[in-house]
Amino acid sequence: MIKSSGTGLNRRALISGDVAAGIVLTGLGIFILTQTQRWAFSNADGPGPGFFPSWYGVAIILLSIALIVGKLRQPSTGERQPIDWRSIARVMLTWGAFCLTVVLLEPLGFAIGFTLLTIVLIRFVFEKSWRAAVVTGVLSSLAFELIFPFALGVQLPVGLVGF
Amino acid sequence: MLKFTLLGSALALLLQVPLAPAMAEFKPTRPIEIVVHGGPGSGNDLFARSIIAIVEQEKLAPVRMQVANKPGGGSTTASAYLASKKGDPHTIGVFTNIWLTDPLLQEEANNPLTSMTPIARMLVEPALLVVKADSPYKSLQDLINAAKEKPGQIKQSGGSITARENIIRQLIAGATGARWSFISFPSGGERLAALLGGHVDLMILEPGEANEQIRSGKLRVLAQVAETRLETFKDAPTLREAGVSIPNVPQTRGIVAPPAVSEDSAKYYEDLMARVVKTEAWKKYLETNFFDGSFANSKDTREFLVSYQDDIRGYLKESGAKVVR
Amino acid sequence: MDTFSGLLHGFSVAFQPANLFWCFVGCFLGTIVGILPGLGPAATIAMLLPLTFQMDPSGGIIMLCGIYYGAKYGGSTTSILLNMPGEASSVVSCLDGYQMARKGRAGAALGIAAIASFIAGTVGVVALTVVAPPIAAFALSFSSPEYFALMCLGLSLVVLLTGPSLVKGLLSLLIGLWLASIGTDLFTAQSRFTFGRSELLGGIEFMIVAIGVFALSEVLASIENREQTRLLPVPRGLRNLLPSWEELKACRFAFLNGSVVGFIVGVLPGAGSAIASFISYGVEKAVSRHPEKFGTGVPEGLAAPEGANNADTGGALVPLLTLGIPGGGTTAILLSALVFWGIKPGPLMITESPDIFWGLVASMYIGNVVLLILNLPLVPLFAQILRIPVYVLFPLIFGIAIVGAYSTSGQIFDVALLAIFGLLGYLMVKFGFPTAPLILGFVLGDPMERALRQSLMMSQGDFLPMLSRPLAAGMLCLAVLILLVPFLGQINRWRVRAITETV
Repeated sequence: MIKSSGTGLNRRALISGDVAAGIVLTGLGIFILTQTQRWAFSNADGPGPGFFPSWYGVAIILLSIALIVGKLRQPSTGERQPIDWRSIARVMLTWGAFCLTVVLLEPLGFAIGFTLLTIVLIRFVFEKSWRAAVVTGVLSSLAFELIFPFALGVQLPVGLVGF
Repeated sequence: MLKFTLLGSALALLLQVPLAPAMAEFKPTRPIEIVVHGGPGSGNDLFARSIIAIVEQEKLAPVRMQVANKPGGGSTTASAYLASKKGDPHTIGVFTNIWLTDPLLQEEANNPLTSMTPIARMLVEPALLVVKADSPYKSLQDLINAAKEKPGQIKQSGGSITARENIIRQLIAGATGARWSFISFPSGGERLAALLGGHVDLMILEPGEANEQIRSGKLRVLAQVAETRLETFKDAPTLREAGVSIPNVPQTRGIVAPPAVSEDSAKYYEDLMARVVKTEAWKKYLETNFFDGSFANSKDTREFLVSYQDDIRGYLKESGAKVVR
Repeated sequence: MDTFSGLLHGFSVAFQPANLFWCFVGCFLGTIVGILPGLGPAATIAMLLPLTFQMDPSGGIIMLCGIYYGAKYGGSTTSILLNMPGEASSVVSCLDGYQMARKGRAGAALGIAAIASFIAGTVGVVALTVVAPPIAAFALSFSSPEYFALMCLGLSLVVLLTGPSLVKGLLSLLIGLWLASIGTDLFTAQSRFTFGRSELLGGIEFMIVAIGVFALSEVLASIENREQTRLLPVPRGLRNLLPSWEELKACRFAFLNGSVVGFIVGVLPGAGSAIASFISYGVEKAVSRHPEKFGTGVPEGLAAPEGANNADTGGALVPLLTLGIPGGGTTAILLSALVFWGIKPGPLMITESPDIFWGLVASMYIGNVVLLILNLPLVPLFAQILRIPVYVLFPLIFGIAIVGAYSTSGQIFDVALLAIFGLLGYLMVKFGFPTAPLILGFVLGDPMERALRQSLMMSQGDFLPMLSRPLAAGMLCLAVLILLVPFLGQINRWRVRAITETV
């Protein structure tokens, strides 16, 4: 366990999430402020479209700097938990599968896209059998088609195959 | 069931392909989709649903018609969707003025109405210039005089600066020199509440929105934005009669088809709409909403839209908006 | 006709067997569309409107209104069970409702939501009956400065919604404000932060942000902690499925608070029910004896916003029926429906169409009872949803999310946004940023900017008139006070430490 003094710079904190988030958010604030330059801050009638974003852009920058500084000055609370890369990989696989589904919705339509997503999630993320994956995928997709477009008349993405 | 009909009609379409040149007249073979830029319950949505109700009641079309709501970005989502249906004879859309103004003002809106196939202009909406009943302004001239005395003190509530009410304000300012400020509110309800609460001084709105307030004596009509006086408000002068000569800025609604559709299918929808406007139900619809049914066919609608787009571009430039096209 | 005889007459209309039937149908349909994302009350009413033309007007409007307030009952179900808010006003119900479900009190949470909805819904109708005209005058006195102050008050609640780090809560709020300003500026028609995409011109749909940041991030987080993930516990036995006496007792004040706040905010045409639920949650937490427990599944943290959400219905009908002013999307379509029948809501409606007016008001009393009877038996049924194994349930949540996002606009682009917000929500949770303030900022950002600019346009750039209006000034002071509370606490801690150190 490393203990640093209360006021000194905490080196470990430099690589912490707060600092990373603070840097990203400072970037967002700067982006907002640069965009704001294109719009009038105020015009003859009153405040313009750049008025409000300028305020919260500045606030974001100040607060994210406060976040970084606060973290650097904070005494280390002890050993950080090791990052469980296997879990993170599982999350990224899920998210990636979802993104891929979004891309496939246009050509394949909801029914096929969603069946594939379900199969991938159940087989690879939850590591169940292929059979469970395919049966659940087809059945839940069917249920969606029955409830939304058929019974309620809600439109779902239709692919090139016509459903 | 829907899927089977779709599949069936797809098959039928495939079978018809070799026969197509022999068939001169277009007849829809699968459900017709009407694209609307508002959400369910918005004015245009109800407009489309009224047309559908009439078509179904009078059995004017051999297939079902359904509304496809594409809200978002004013008209841009709906017009992009319609443009993506290029050449599709089973999709039509409902256009209003903002289908003209959005592409003029926004870089991202790149599907101008004039690039599509206009089918018909179905109606023109008049408007009323109203003040609160206890307002000191008894006539339009009072209002104009007061505005000249204290420029910027008088306030009007309305929608976006691209809306007709702002264009009319600019035109009045240009013609008379009377200037007042224009305060945007997102919904009709908030605009009216601001007027009734006395937080703004005047409003230019559709008769249907204001009629109850006028009838109960809460609002007073100073002028009508129309060529001739409406029957219901026959005591109020038109703008021209009130001494303000500005060009009429019609608020229109009509039907448009995607770009590059066949002449046959355009003709089919033109005839269909011409039959819709002849029904009793349509007359009743116009009457309850105080609309003016100035129907125009496909050719006239195109001419109207092209020249009207130029007019609007001019008005918008004058009103200080940034025109990109 | 005075109120009492009017209401009696109304009950004689509403109790006709046909109207009773339509009331039931409306409530039933409303409950269903409220539960299912992707189909809101406005869309349902629009679809059913043509079918009701053949009906008697009172029966028709009773049914359509049933859909409107019935949908609010159902709205909390997915919030509690799946952390998936179906509409802006049920976001706050997620905070404590979903945590209750995680603690194994899903049935109790659903029961409390139904009871809170019933009580507040009924209070809202009573208020609509008794004080409609004076409260309508109050609603009209609200101008842009008051709305701005109200939004500031709402935003100040951020201090009650954040965890240990106020800075992170504020940053989350500001991101929400930024997201809210994406789209076309109402005043100048200029597009802001659209990255050249026409899909963003209309702004980002609320549903997409809420489902992404709440429901999808929760799914991703659960997948990450698979080792610890068990199915949410659903105890067997009816007893465990209903709220306990202690839980109901804890909600006493919340029922009242939700009813009053919901009704008053509901009356204002420019406010919306989301802010009502946020404010009632803030009030509840502020007066609570154990504010630190909020967000961990306390029943009153669910009852207050859920009540506010339903009392809002009665409030929103006040300007609609007495002034002809619709407050939001659903009341706007109710207005169109009335116009279709030739009934004009407005100052003359009570005298010209007493059958419709009083019949509708009376049917809402009946409808609230119907909804309670309809919803309580459904509680054990819905609680069973959590028995579905996670490997089936999680893909289903993705499916519902896709349907919900796609149906808001019919664009695949919106489903892609959903993926982005799912990741954003997950990262925020990972890095210890609270997500509720982001939603708060997103909901309030737009009306706040608008009200501020309207006020300054009305006063020609002068801030002073805003402070000279007593109601606006009062609310602004309250907002500042709330924002200062954590700092006062901090100062107090320093003081205490200083004293102990010197002693």
